[in-house]
Amino acid sequence: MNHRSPIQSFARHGMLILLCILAVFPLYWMVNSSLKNESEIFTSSFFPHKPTFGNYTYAFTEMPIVRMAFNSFGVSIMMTLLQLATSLLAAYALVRWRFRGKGLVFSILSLTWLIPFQSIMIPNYVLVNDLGLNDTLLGIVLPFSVSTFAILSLYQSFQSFPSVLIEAAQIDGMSDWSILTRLIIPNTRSTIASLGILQFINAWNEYLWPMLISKSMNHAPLQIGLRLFVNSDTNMWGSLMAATTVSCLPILLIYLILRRQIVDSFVRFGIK
Amino acid sequence: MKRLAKGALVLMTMSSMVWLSACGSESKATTTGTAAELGTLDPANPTKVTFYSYSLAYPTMKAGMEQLIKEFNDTVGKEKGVVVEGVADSTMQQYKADISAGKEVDVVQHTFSTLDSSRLSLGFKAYDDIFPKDELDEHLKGISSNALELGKIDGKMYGLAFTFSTPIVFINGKLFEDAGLDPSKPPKTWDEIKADSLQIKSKTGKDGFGLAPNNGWVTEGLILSNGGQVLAKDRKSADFGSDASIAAISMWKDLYHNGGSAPGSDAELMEQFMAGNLGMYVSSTSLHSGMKKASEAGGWKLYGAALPQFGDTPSVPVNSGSVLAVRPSDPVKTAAVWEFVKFVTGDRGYTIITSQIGYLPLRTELADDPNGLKDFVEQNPLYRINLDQLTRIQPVAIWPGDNATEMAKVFTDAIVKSVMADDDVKSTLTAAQNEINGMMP
Amino acid sequence: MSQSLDNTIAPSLSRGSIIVRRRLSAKKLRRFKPYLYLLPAVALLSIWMYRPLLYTFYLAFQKWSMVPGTSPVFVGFDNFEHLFHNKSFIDSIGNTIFYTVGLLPFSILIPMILAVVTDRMESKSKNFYRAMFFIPMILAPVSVSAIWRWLFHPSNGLVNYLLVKLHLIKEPIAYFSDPSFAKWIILLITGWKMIGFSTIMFSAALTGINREYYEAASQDGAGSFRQFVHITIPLLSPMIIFMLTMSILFSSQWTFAYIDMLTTGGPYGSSTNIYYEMYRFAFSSLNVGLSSAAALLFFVVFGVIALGLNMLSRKFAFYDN
Repeated sequence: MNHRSPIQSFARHGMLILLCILAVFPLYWMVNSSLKNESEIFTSSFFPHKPTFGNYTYAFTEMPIVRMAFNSFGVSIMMTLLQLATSLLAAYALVRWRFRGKGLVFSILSLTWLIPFQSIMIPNYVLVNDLGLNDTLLGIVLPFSVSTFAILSLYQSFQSFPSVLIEAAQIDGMSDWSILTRLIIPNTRSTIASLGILQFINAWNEYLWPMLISKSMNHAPLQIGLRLFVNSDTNMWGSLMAATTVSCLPILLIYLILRRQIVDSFVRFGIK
Repeated sequence: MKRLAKGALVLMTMSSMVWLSACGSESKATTTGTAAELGTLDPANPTKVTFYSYSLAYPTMKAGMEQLIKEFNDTVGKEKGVVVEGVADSTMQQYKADISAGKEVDVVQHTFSTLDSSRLSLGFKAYDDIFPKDELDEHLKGISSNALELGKIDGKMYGLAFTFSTPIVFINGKLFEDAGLDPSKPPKTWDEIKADSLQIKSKTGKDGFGLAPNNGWVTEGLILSNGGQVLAKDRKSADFGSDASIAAISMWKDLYHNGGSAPGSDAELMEQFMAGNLGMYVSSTSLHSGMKKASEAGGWKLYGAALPQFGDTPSVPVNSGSVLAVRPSDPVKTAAVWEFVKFVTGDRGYTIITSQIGYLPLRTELADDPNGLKDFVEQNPLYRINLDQLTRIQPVAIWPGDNATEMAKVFTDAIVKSVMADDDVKSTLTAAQNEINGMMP
Repeated sequence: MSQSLDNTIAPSLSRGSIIVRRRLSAKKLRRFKPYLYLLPAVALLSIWMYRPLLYTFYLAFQKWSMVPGTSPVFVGFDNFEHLFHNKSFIDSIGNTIFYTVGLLPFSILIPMILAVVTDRMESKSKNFYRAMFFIPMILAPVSVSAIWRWLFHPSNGLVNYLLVKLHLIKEPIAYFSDPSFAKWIILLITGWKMIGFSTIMFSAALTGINREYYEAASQDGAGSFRQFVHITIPLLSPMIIFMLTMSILFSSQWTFAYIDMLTTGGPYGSSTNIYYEMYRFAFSSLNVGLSSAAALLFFVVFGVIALGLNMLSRKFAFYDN
């Protein structure tokens, strides 16, 4: 390949490492601060001299963190499963058949890209209220039970599914339903899984809607509970950083284990 | 392109559908009892009352407010058949959201400035309309009449003064002494504030004085102290563009830009003061219990001073704090709410509010009552300053009409901009005043 | 996207008449089948996307506070008129443009350079760098805001401490309550979060580029800068347009959470954007009509922008091979 001088390469790596530090340093500072005791929190030492878990104990007693973590998992998993279910069906229909109004369906799907959530939040809020679902997890999930982004992503990957296989299955007498559930889904599971991961992360990080719907910490996802904590407590930076650390942990752990798949799925599908 | 055009067509065809469904939505008007009649409470089958309180959401006030509710439930509530459930409402948004969600929101610890808009849009009721007149008159005896005036709109009481405080200057005794100043002879005028603040800064390296531009209410005291006003007397127009107001704000701007006033938001300044890194901090006495704890933990002594004055004219503080606004849905609820209101604004209620949280006793004679707060006030001389200020107090502006929240924001934004930015104070304030007048009902 | 698999069955040649009859009824069913499969998605989209959108358009001409027991009152174009007299809304338009333009270096320029720089490294270090850059992307906005708020804390934050220590500033700065810093910090945080994602997108696009172009160019004596300008950028142009579209359409939504968490739009509206104002009108001022009017207005504006970008991407489509 190219011949580069060691100095050039050194400079290049130096710059990249500096950027890496910029990317992860805030996380380090968060963990560092969360372990400092009261007298040390306001100093800028880069290591806690007497590490303490006192901040964590305080955060756990002030907030129902475990409950909120369950809420977060519940909401994110429900959203992901609903989105996958609805988009598998829809993408299959779009790939499989030619039918009247197909163009119209594509228009309906594409146009949703232009609808910012802020312009539909009021009617949705009113509807969720009328259904009596304010301050419930279901109320958070429902408006996110379908994702056009997921439909179009699956549509694209289904398109590359070899049509010969589908034809062969049909000649063997397989029903349309079985073709989806026993042929296409098993053979595209890695795609579906990476889309699932992506949707899970998006659901976990969702902000505006859960914030509008959650009223009490017991019915709030971790993020929103943390927001309530940030806004109400003053001068409790140690325990705030402890709570923040806890709120980041699940996603960071998932990233540690599934790094490749997560990065791949972002590349494959982009973001919404 | 084609797709978008098609999509637009879909929208148009679907629109008719929605139009119809929207028009079809009925209004669910709740019936309101007009007569001042109370229902009958049943101790065996207690009535639940929800109480939305921002004090419940703040660590420094939470314990006291919880005690207040608990004591009511354990005594009067148990005897008469009322159970009060406190709802912490840190941003003062939740009661709005819950009212719009159709939940039962019975009693709200409501701030002053947006009371009128809540009355108009959120269905709060006037005390005179729902509670028996004789009982009401009897209960109001002994409460500072200055304070009672504050919850009245167009002659009717929509809020009963509840937690109440005036702005005072909290002083860090140690920083004062380090700078060679005497904390028991605190500054009285704004000129003295500036001199002392700069002296603290040059001697100790720490900020001498802090008043956050976005504080919202001390500002009004500043304007009133210099002879200006925020709202015109008839509450039909904003009037903070006068020369007196401009002079008051310009003084503050000078203080801010010459290093006499530390930068930061109200929350940040409070943290700074509690960490022992700020010489003087103007805020509500309701923070007293938190400040006292911080000073004991930090090993310095807490002093106080009245709101500074301009020249020789005594300062005119405004109140901060809240009224109780009520919206019971039926006569039984009304009776239950009335019991709760009577308890928390009664002798016992104010004793708890003052000693456990730090607000003022609006039944002022409690301060001299040995069974009430006599000991407490003697141990905490800061309260004397506050009680003295109560005689000079004026109401904070209650912005009229539906757009109150928006008006309050325009006012605050204009003050922040006048103080912080280099823009001309006069033109900033005048522009804001015109904008608010355009929103008047 | 326009072509789909054509899977309608070719009629089989040798089958009995019973099968033909069965196929007739099956054919009828088959005509409905696609709609059946699409039904959940389309129904949910109608309920949670299109119905509310149209309802918002309707509310733009009403006055309403969302309180039960009250109903919207028709006010014509009043809301639009108020909107244009609302100073904080006018200011928010300027800020929206600021955020949109300010984010472009973070979503396009820097990531493109990073992608090119890491592209030819051995895969181990390449993957390491990209994985690190990516971490901010997966963190939730609330956590990110809490951390940065602490880092930029006026009296106890690390940033102020270091800057004072290095004698770069004399006094600690209250970043979030200083109008000359607040929106820059919000931009910085949003950008910090975006870089990793965009880098990965550009890297993926680079892997698709044929190496022979570069070899030919180096044989012609083109230096790496010229290669970047004359080969890399044109070949990446579809991705550039894609990221440009994303960045422009979504930057105001990406900044939303940080505005809410860190400054609530202040000081004096200097860090707010249009979406935050819509939220504030609706849920703080309880003025549904005003919020809806703003929503309607910007739905149209962004629609026009999207159309423009769509046309632009067609123009550059010939590079996409």
